[in-house]
Amino acid sequence: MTESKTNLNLFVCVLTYPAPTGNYRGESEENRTILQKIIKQGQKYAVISPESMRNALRETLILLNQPNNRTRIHDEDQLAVEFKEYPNAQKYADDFLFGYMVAQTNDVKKMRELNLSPKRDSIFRCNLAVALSPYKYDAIFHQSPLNAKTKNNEKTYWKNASTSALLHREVTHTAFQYPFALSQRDCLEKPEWIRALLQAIAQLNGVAGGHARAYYEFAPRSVVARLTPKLVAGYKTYGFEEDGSFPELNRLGKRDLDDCDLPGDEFWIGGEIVRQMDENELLNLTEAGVHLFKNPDQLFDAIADEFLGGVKNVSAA
Amino acid sequence: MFLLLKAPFASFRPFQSGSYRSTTPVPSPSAVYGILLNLAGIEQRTATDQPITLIRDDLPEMEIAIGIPNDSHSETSILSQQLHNYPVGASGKELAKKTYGNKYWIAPVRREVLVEFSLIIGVKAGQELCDRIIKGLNGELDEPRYGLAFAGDNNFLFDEIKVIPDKNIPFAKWYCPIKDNTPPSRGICRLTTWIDRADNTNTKIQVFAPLFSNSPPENAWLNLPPSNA
Repeated sequence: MTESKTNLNLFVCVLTYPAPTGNYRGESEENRTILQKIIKQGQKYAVISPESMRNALRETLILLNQPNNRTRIHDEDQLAVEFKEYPNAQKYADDFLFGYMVAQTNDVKKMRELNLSPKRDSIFRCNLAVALSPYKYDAIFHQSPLNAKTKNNEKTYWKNASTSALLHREVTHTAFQYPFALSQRDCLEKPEWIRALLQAIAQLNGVAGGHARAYYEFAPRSVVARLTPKLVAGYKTYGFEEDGSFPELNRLGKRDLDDCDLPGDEFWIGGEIVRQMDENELLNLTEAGVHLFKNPDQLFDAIADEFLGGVKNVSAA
Repeated sequence: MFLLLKAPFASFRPFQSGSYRSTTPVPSPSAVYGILLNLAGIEQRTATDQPITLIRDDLPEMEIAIGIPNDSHSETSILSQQLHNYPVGASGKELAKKTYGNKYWIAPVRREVLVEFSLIIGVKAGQELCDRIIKGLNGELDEPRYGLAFAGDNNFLFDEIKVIPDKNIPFAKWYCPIKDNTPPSRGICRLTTWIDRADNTNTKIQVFAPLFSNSPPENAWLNLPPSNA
């Protein structure tokens, strides 16, 4: 724990642009690769794991020149990563932001000798990304070719399967929404890394299972954020509807009104949702003190200034 | 005092390993106690830099009751996940050196997740502790604290935690410990009432069954920490 002082917490819901996705390849039913789905109000919705987003954020942070300990390696027979050295939250942004756990007794002992903590909670709290539209049982059909042995390749020939394979791949055309949260008290120790994280979220890409075969843009289309001393968001964190609206914005009002439900000056709204607001709605929200941005990048820059105070931008590689 | 909690996702894992990770329908009493202390900004742990996180022995006493509001639409979904672990035996031992003590093996597992979860918690405690919980929720405690309250998995944050007046307690199914020779009933589950991390044989687990009622039945109230913990 850090020093004693009441601080703010940041709750954000990000809506992405819609695109076809067949994101998940961790499981299959015979020759059918499936989407991961959850059931909500009787319908199935595709989901993307927070781990997938954390992996993409880690790789974006590397591109933003942030010090990283963990790197994905691609020549093992299973998903694999390597560390440069023992986790060190003071030295590496990814260890600081995403946490880690070392439980092997000998390594814990060595880490203690180095005055390093063997485990650390993730500062970045990110929930599942959930499809905005229900899954409609769409599947597309592929054929994986046989790698044939010929005269040309007989010295270097290899193959995985003995026959050509037919594959069904579940797909859905949808946007996704995902909430994340940060506690300011946890963040102020390394504000420059938190700013880099927010910049990475503002340009998030490469969130992909499917061995990253499908390009799926995860950059924010609309954002609803709350900066508040309270410990919970206080509204539906998956608040976007299928048309891109966020009905709970109706609860925002002027802080000093007796019937104020959610104080507008704690809210930051950006992107398409603002660009599509009519004049009355813009006026009401402005009068309630809501911070409005047509561009989500500008929202993330401004909220980083408010949340972290005066830390300069990070530089891209 | 009664609290209503809502979370888009929740998962309360009993002690288990293997390729199927279930969730109990409600958080265990020990988890609810931890959530309440977190809200009140009271550190439950002795130290966080040890392999095993031990629990302090000077924690405040309270009684709690746990229920699911009758209007809850929570459903259980199953997700797959690549779980990082330390393998049993020598599998992948050549990978260990690359991870500096971190888990170096990945195995697919199935995880149960509660979707659109609602919970009601009854708290009987001293006024000072109740006030601390409310102040903590409102961010008005000038105390050291870390992180945010979560619904079993630290990615699963609550949308809402609010105090509700006693007269507005919803009709709910309250989880009550069952006694020996109790006839079979629906929805029985095993919940941890207290954890001993240093010696798991001392961890206390009881069998609970839900009982519909307008307010918590007398036997739904549990003392925590248990008197003989």
